[in-house]
Amino acid sequence: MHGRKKQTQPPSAEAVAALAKKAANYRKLSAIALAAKAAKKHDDATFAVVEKLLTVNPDVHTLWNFRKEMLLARAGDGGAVAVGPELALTAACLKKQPKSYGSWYHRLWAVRREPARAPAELELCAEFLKLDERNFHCWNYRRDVSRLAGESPADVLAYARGRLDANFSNYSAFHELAAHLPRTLDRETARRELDVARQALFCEPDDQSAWWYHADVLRRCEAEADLVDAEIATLRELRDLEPGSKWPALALLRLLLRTPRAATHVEVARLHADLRRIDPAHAHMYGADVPVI
Amino acid sequence: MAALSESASPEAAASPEAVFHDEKHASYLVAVSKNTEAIEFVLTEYMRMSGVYWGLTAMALLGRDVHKEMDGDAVVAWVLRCQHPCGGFGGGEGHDPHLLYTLSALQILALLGALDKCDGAKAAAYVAALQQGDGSFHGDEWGEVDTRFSYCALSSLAILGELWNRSPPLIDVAKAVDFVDRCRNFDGGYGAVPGAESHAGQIFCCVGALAIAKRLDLVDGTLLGWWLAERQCDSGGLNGRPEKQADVCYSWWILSSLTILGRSHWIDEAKLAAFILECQEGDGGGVADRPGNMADVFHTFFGIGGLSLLSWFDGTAYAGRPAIDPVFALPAPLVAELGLEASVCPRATASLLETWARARDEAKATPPPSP
Ligand SMILES: [Zn+2]
Repeated sequence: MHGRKKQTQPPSAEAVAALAKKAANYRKLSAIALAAKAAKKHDDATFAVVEKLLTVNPDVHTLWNFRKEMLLARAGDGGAVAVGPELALTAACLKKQPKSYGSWYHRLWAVRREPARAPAELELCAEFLKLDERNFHCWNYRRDVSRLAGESPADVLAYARGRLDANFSNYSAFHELAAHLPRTLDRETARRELDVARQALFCEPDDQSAWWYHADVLRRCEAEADLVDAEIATLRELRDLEPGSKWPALALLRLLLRTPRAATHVEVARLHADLRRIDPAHAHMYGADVPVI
Repeated sequence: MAALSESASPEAAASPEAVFHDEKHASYLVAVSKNTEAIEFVLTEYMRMSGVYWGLTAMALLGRDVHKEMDGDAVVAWVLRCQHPCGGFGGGEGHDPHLLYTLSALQILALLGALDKCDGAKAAAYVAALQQGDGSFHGDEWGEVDTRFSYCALSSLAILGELWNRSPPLIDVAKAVDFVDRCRNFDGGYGAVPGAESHAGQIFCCVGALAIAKRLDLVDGTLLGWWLAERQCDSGGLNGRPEKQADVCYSWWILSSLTILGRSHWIDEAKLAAFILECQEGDGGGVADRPGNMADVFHTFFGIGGLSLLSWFDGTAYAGRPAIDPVFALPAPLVAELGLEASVCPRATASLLETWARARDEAKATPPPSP
């Protein structure tokens, strides 16, 4: 349903026929699988049909459920489900459809039955997040297997920082850092995290990713007056370098409004006017009146 | 009365992009529901219940007689066949019950005035039994947890009239609220589970759940309103997360959340309407995710729903159609008729900057709970 280009020309007769055949075949197999599910049939032939359907259409929760039912029934009382084939199947499904809820959940279900496999799962996550660094399904799965593998918060943070080293435009990784920040930051931590954000901000001031993290770090170290003053100076510098950029102006204005001792009406008024000019779409969010300091 | 032809609509004269393909969308929605041989139809059979809900609601927003034009009696009979003995509904015949499709089924029955035809007590019991000790909800018996399911549960019980005034209560609303609150992030948004990244679809579910529970006081409206408003891209469309492409479906997830928070005016509403109109398929009808892409029923519903939330139809030849309710995603008159209650914030009078200037005097906003 996403990203399918409109056809400029009607599909050829062959293409239409091929799709119709695919649809008819899928429909036939699906009817067999659902009938077998209703009849609680767990034989090899049924197992194979369900697996085939899942590789074609990994989003069908009923078929994943049926596969679990069959695995549990076939393992028998006290028997263990073989986890390896589940990992192989879900890996294939996820390569085809990396955002398939059903595939990720089935994989988690399987790994929970054999937690010793969790460390290897972290490597699979690393592979998937190289292909799509923002895949939130994979980030969510990673958090689950990270717990199973007994990763420490430091391990988790090291991974997220590694992703940012590869590409600072990664909001998912900034989210991970922010989720681990304490409520208030000591000076050393605040300074370090502001540095992390700053590296990204100076490279690409129009990329939002780091700005949200920057705002959050500042919110957690507002009591550190000299840090805040230094940040105001930095933002004024960045703004001079990038006068047409919205985010440096917005971040500076936010900080000034929360730090009235450092603000003048003239500067606030200019930032307010600049924001309304650079980013007219958000004029109502900024408001018509210059905020009072 | 026959619908006005598109070329005669007043907005068409103003700007060629502002044409709304009213008739074509209606024919598209009818055609899609009947084209059961198509590969797209076959592959999405497992979630047909949601597809039918999108199609019916879109038709209702177009001011159509849903019962007549979408074969209401047959739809009701089919929905009832999808209810399992446990009370939950499957996405299609022979498919397993799930909270996602239970909500869609109840929404369809509500649209068609047939809620009393299903076993409502059993449906409510099914939903309630999926609540966990931490307040979260499993999607089904297999145990997946997601804040989408929290919304489905609260909305389903509200539609069934089983959320309040039951003694003892069917679910622990306070605990359900607590779980959603634990999913709040540094950016004011919400993810699927505690610790998960904010995402527009997830935010709608969490804000919607809190609205139904009347606990919007837990939302940081300034921070989240700002984050949601920054989803608007240069194209006018909205994206679902920072640095992602705009997509029509976020017109719904973001705009409904902003509306519930009283801050829909923090984006350029006219520009968003123009983006949605640009995503229409001019030939066959329907709305696509982005300009130049193929239409589908999901984006057609969210596109029309977005225009409805924007009150875009007012002042056009299509004025007087039912508005959509931002919390329950059903036509507002139906929500009123069913007596569904939710809290919605009044339109924020203070701008973001004024709030920032004021906040320094007050207790600073609490950061989200640590993991
Ligand atoms: Zn979309």
